[in-house]
Amino acid sequence: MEMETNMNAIVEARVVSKLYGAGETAVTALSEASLAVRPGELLLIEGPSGSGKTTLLSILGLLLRPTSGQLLIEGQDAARLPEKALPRLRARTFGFIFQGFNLFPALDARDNVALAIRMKDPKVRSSVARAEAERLLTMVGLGERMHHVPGDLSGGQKQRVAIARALGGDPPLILGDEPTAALDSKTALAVMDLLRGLTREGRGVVVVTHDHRLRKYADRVVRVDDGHVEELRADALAA
Amino acid sequence: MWTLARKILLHDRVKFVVAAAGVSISVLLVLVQIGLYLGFMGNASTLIDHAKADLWVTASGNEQFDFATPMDERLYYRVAATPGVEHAERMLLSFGQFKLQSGGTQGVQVVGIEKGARLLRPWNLQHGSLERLDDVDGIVVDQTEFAKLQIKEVGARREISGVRSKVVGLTKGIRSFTTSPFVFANLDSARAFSRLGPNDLTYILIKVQPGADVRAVKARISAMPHLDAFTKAEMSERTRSYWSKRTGVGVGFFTTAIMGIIVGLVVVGQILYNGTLEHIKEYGTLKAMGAENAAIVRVIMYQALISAGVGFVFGGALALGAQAGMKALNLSVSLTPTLLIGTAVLTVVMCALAALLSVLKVLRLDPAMVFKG
Repeated sequence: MEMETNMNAIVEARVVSKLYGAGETAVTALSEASLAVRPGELLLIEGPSGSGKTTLLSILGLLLRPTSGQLLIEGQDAARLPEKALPRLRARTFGFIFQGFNLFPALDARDNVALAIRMKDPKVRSSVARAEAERLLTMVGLGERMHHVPGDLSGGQKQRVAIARALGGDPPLILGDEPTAALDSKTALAVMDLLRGLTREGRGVVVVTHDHRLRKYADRVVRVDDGHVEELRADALAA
Repeated sequence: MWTLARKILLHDRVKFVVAAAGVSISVLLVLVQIGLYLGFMGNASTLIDHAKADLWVTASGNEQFDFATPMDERLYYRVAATPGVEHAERMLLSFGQFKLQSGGTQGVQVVGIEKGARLLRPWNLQHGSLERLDDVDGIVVDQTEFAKLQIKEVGARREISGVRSKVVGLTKGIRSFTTSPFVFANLDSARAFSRLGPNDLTYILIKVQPGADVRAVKARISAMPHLDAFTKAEMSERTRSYWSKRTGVGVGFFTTAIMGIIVGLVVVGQILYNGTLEHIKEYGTLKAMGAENAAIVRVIMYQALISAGVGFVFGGALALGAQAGMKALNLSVSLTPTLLIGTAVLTVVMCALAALLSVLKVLRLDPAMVFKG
């Protein structure tokens, strides 16, 4: 049965909890969290280490099943979908970027992006995937460096390749786990500029970060503390 | 995907060379060991395989082709008169002592055949004349045994078990399994060379009449007292089986071949598994992005197949080199098309099995691990 989502949200978590372990030793990583990510917005998730940010991001990205609650994607509760249905839903919904880039060192920038495109949809021909990879790399400003392997690229350039890879298959939502943590300040802001730009195409972007300086790029900021999720009000942001 | 697999595999060239070397050594061991085995077994049954006889008849109870107990010639006439027999020939296979030019002796296997024999004659004649075998002292030997027999050409005269002989023909490639060179002679000379009686023979070779049932003729002969009869295929298999199973020759060769396969499995498995572990975050990222397990498994299996292909080509080339080298030592390595194709398939299976650990690792990989630092 289709469910009504919050203002056409790409993904919406409703009263989601996550417990690790059972009985007396159970640990609550996330407690009754509700959150929606809408097209065209950049959402920042902040919080101290161990607060549950990554658990929230993993649940939003269908990498972790919540213990209770609903996760609405495309009008259905994805938390109840069978395991085999998840890869395809992830492929058409999400792109991921990470602090450590996770690029294949043996492949140049173009092949790293093309590979992700083909892995998401094996029916895409190799030549088509490469052409699309070239377009995406040009879009993120790496048109001149697409034939370089990650070892020959700077941290910022690697993250741009990772962003291009995340955009492969044209997913509506990009999830980033501390994507600027390994970068210097200037490069980090440039990467955030790039992510902000993606929202102007109607894409949603969620970024987990410790860095308060990134708030200026966000449409909304939520704070996760001890498993509890709270959206920060505008006056709190200004403070 | 092939390109990706190749690039990942070749990214660390040293590891790839080690993997390819492991497969190559494995292929080399399998090909050379089984090739040597086939070569030896081919030698063991070479007289039977080259004879045109439908049936081989021997004294009952003979278990081994090369050491058969003689039987009396009167049995030959009874066999020749059996219904269904078109033609029968007497043959003697025994041992004699070949006097060397240096003064020593060399054991030889004397093959006595009838004058004008049609069912078994020396083949691959290089020099001399087979008709001269009818001469009272004529013998035909093989060129590959020159060193053992210390002769160089047709016309050489030597004594066998104290009886004069003269080389009247030279063949190429007729080698025995027992390492005692074959010496072909007419039946009377062979009896003298072997110090057997004038009526002794060890085999009767049978050609059945056109349209006759070989099995029925065999049954008629086997029903006679003191005789056993075997079809050509049975005799050949029986001889090879004796040497292979009774002496442990087969176990020895195949054990080494299996050890080669194990070496290949371990080396390739280790290299592929390490490679998978090195790229586990990248594979996890692809899974997180929605890649199906099958797509990632394909990349790993392609790496295994590339290792198999490269290893087989190099291992095969090494085996061909070993074959040439061993030929110079008078050892026959039989690299038949069946053996080559079989080893190629075995190599692919071996590398695919070696990739299983990596495949299991990827199948069990939780894509959420990409967020775990």
